[in-house]
Amino acid sequence: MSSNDHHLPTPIKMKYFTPGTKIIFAVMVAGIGAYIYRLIFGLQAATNLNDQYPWGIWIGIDVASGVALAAGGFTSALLADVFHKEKYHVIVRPALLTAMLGYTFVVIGLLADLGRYYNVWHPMLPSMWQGNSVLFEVGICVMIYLNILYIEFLPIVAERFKGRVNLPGALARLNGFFESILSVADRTLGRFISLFIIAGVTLSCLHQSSLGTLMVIAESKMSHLWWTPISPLLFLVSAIAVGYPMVIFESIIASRSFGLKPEMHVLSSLAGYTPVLLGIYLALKIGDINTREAWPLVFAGNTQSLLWILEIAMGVVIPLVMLLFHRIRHSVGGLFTAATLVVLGVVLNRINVFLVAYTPLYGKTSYFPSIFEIMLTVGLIAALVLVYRAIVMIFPVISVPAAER
Amino acid sequence: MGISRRDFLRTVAIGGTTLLAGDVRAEHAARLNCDKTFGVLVDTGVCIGCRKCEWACSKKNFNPEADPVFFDDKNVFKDHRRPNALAYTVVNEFRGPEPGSHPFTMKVQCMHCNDPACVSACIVGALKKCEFGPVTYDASKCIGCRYCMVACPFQIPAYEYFNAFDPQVRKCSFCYDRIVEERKRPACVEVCPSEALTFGTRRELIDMAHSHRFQIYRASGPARSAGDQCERDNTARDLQAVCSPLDALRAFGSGNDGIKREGREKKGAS
Repeated sequence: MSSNDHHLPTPIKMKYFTPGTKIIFAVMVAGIGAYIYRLIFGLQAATNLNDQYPWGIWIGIDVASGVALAAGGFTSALLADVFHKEKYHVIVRPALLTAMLGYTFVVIGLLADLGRYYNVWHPMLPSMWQGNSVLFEVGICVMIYLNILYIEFLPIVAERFKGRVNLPGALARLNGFFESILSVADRTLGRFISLFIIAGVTLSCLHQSSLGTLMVIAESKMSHLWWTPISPLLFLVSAIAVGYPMVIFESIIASRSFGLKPEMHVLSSLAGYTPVLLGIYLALKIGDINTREAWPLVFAGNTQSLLWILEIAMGVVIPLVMLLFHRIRHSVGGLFTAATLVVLGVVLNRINVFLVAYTPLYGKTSYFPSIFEIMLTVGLIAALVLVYRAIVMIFPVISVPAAER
Repeated sequence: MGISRRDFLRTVAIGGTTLLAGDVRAEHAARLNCDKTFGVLVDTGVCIGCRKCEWACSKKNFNPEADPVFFDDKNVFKDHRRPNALAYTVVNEFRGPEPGSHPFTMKVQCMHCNDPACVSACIVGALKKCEFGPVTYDASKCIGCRYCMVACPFQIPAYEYFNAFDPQVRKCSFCYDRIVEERKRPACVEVCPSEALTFGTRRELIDMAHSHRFQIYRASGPARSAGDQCERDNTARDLQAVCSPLDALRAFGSGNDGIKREGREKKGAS
């Protein structure tokens, strides 16, 4: 922290509701409406899922893309806390918050998709553990990692509220209880936090790759543009590659929204890693298509081939080339554009793998999400933005230069 | 490529995914007891498409009062139907590739695979391959993730999407209660008037598949060695294909797009 004394994490002080926030709030309310509709009337009424298409955008976007975009949490912890690149400490807290909220909303979205959501805790019972299931690996990892993220966030809560817990009204009698939790956390966590950080990085690598293994079992139903035995490796590498662009993406948006200057000196050098990571990913993607001799599919000219080309060109090649230029890395607009492209590319990849590539054997129609599915997905993103905004106003997450505090 | 797909997968798995799986397939094959495991041999050559199996299945699993007249309608053959949450088995009509060829009918249902993808996919072990052959479902464990439906290569498990509070995965249970507890044959086998369905242990059925009656079909059907099916690691699909005049399940796999499918080629060749 020493090198950044003039940049200390501080709660942002500004009005919560702006015209933009009100619009996002309305989108969130619509999403809550869709959620309630699904809970009352069931999946058939709320979604376009059927026996041929058991998974829709709630899995492809809410879960798979959500988990991928939350990768900023573990990749920045890796950089700052494990490799001790001290100058990146300013991004750790915002990235941690995104990961924590991202995973929380992944679980909320997943609950909407599960037919028997009230049984979601079953994978925790050793009697129901199913070690052959990739989904079990994903489920148990996400569950543990979510808790680790909350633990990693506890010191920030302690920093803000230790000795200052003052709940209103009837909750006041719990003040002492919360106070003692915070002081225990503050005293002990400092010693063990590195363990949690390393566990978090490990668990992330595990389930980021396992998400890619999920569709490997459905070989006969998958387009061989995306069906590949190295799918787990591709998912892991793309998750690591999207980590920093996601941090850059949200950091620039947050600075804009809170009227701060983007921390370009940190973000630009962070972006220096991205071409390398994207290059590895691109080499794996091309090598995979080459090894499986799937080039005819790439040039088939159908929707799937066009989406594959779009995914690679827009999400990998263009940002890779852009970020090679010093000038683009150091301009807010250029950096933001490149980071956004990487983020969109990874989202498109997850949608492609889970939805576009999936061509059921006896499907007579194709799947397109219903209005409720779209409302719920968009509503979850809106809710995430609103909770993020609230948390950075309450807790010291975003680093603010001393002059602007 | 020098290494097989499975070896490759396993290498990838060590690279960071699940280490738990191990060589599950080998375990399954070793555990399969052909004298204890039940199966049904389907002779599509004598199936008359009467849909009585559909009626019996409906009566057993959904509505004891099911009206047989409802199942006499042959117009349903205009379409290739699929099993769903309200019908575990359906009969479809197929025609051979050459014009004017005689149609044949065949029921489609859960294959109760020896190495079921749905069972290996299930996150909580709600789907189980029981030692007598049936792949059974325990709704009390199920979380409703529908990964079994993604995993099944035959697209069999169906879901009660219409049920908002207690939806279940629905598929043929091989009449588990009848064959294991009551020592009877499955409802569809019992009702079949043309003996297109034969229930027995896996060993009996494989011997039967080698018998004279089925050799006729094998001569006209695709070249496919029954081999010692019993000890080999395969799915019930192989057993059924031995005795069908056409590889009626050729819908399985999309075929000639020029993409390497090492696993499948190997399976066909061995």
